[in-house]
Amino acid sequence: MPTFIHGKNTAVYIDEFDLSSYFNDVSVTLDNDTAETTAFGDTNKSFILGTRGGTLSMSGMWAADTDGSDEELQALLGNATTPILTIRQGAAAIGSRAIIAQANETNYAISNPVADVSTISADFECTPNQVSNLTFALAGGVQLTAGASIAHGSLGDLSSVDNAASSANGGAGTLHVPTNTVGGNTTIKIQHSANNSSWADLISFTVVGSSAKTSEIKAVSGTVNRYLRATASTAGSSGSITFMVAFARF
Amino acid sequence: MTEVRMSKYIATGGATGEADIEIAGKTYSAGDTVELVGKKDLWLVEQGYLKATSKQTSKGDK
Repeated sequence: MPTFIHGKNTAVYIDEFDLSSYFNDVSVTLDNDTAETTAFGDTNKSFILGTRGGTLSMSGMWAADTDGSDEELQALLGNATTPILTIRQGAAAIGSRAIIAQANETNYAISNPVADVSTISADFECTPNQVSNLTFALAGGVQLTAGASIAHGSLGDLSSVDNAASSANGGAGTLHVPTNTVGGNTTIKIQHSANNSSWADLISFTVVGSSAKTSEIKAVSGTVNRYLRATASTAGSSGSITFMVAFARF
Repeated sequence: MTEVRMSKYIATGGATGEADIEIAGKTYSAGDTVELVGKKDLWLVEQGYLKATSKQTSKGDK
């Protein structure tokens, strides 16, 4: 029997911001261009496949908060740096599905109806950039963190996710740090394992500075072992950090 | 007599030269010497995270 999930648990991370509380709808679309090859004498139309693409469309509520929907969506429009996005599907739990992407914001709209809340909508067009083998410029993967705040003294190895088998074509991982009060550098990694016992670093994200908010996407090639986990450590002696890590296999 | 076969390896850092590995809760960086007991962690050798440094040794306790 299929396992369905409710859309209410969706979360939206764009760069170093968790904008989930501003959105109430996210749509992801994958498409593949075709070119028609129908010739004289043919009875049926025929096509050949062209290039693939992905888009994300979001809508929700307008707010003028610092780091809120209006401020960030205005700032991202036309930004030279392509935003990094992670869309969590389902519960905020390690192992839940997530979609990761790099995508330029191509449209931002504000609506102010006389009898309703002011709303926003934004469209993002995916582009592979640093991750050239990111099919459709977005990929489905898994959450390796629950996206919850972790105190500096409780950082360490998080629970592993079992993919049931290894994969051979690499993958990409995303990191979003929307909240950080740790008084020191924090190192965040994705590790993989063939036996869920011994581990090797798969992706080492750039060290997160004291109280820094950041985001990053990194790709790897080759074997990705059956088990994945996120791990974090800090030399800081105060504060906490909220971070989302997701990984998609190619 | 119980025989424990141990092999010594050096952590390579993997393809990037910077990857740490963790075995039995202990973290090893590139250049560190690692002793493996048994076969369950040999995937680290097969995938290039460890390379052999010496012939296998045997330690027995009677």
